[in-house]
Amino acid sequence: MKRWIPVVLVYIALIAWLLFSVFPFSTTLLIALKPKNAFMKFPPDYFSMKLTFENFKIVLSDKNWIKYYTDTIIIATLSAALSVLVGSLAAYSFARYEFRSKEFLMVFILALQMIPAASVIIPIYSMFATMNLLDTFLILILVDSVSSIPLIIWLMRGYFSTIPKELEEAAFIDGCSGMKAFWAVTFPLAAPGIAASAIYAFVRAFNDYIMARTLAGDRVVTYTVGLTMFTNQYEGVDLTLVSAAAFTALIPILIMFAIFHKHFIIGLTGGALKD
Amino acid sequence: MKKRKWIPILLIVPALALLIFVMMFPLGWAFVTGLKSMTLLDLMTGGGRFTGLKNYFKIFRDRLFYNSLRNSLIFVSISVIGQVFFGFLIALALKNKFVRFKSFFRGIFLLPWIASSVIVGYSWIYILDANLGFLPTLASVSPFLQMLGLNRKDWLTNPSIVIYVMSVINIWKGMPFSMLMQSAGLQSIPDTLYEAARVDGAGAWQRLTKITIPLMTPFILINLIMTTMITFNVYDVILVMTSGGPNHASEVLSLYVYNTGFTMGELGYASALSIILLLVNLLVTILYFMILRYRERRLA
Repeated sequence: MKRWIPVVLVYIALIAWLLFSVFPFSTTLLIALKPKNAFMKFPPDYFSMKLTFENFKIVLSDKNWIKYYTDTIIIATLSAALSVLVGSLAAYSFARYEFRSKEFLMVFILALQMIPAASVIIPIYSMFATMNLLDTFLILILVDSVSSIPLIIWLMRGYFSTIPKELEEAAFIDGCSGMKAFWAVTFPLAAPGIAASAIYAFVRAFNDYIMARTLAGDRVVTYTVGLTMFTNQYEGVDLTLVSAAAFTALIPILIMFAIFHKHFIIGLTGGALKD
Repeated sequence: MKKRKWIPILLIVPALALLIFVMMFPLGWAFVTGLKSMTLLDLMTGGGRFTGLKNYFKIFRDRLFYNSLRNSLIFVSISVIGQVFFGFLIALALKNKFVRFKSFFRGIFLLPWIASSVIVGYSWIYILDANLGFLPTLASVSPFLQMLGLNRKDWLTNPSIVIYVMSVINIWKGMPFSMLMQSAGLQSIPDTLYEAARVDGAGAWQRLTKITIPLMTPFILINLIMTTMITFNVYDVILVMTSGGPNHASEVLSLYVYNTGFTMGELGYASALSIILLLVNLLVTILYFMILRYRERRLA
């Protein structure tokens, strides 16, 4: 008879955290749906039911916002492509071949991963400033890729080592070249890992703020930096527009998340949770 | 295949080259610049002069450095304990076989983690802001919130509470990572153990304290240390929300490095601070391996 009590407690805990999780986002959505003048008085009008899509219309036709958004997509896509390509090549080598200094190289890459971005951001800025590479797509693509590569190497090494070598050798004997054997046999089998890596790298680059703000922000502007510019541009005047902009930026990630939910979790936990 | 010995190395070269170019070189640069007196203005003229260990001596007399270290310790310990604790509870709740809609719950819980720090920062500003914030506005008309003591306006402007507010936001954002890690741990406990315990008449509480917690200890430990390592370098949400203010009250160590370099323009001093930050990370990493080694030896 008492059995249902623990289940109810569990539900209460889950729903409480659910509300906590969505509270800030729903507040932002609410603000984005308010008419302009709702926040120009004190106290601000949170509780009336006057809602409008006007802010979304303004934001989605704002040329600057569209540019910020396009820049971000370009950077995130190219850096995902670069880090998956470069990372899988290295992972394949670690999974398939035995060679001298293999142990050393693997530990070396693991050690590099431990270097916090916060302790190299000053020199990265300074180095690229002297090379005149600041405020370019290239620099953000490079920096974002590097922040994903070590995890991708570990993740993909795991995937490649589960694919039997014999499959490739069979293709090899059937007349495929080494490269072709890789593309025809191994690559498709490793596809889930590659998808997870690509999504991981894309989201990391898409959400990056500190690098984008520090190394670019004048000609090349990502949406995260653009959002802060929006704030300065409309400061104190239009909370509603900034919220609408923030929400338009959140939606693509949410859609991606809904579709690739599973790959997402694999990528972000480095393959620790696969169900 | 033997004659193609260079192939495995060739496959690694691109990754290695990128990592060295973007991580190793800058690190070397930081070591050198940490020994110089150099500002942002000196950068383009190639200037800066060597002053030896002067920057490092300065760190030990720097009030703001100790302030940031203190803030980091508060921020990291509250965040880590909170994240791992709630991560464990939620992972446990999601394992309960009577609970429905698990992937729905898990999906929503992941939201704070996958949203960009700028969106997260702004969303929380909109909740906490003294004049326009949702919480102060709601609290001014809600006796219930007033009763709970939530009717304050100075969440982001009171120097003695702002670092705690940041810690809670970080728990909110970081819990999903712990939840996933510990769900993986819970999966590894075989169901047969619980069934056997039930047959022997063990209640829910006994199953929790005699099976789940002992078997989860290694996962919780690894989770604690990994989160510690990550959290020492987290400053993006704080940068968005307060930039470390008011009056450095929410400035954690990594943010102090950033502000010294880019707001104050003191590249030499900031580089020396970067090296200290790296040492702090190294210390936590060593601790991590020592604890793992110790456990292995005890289990062996």
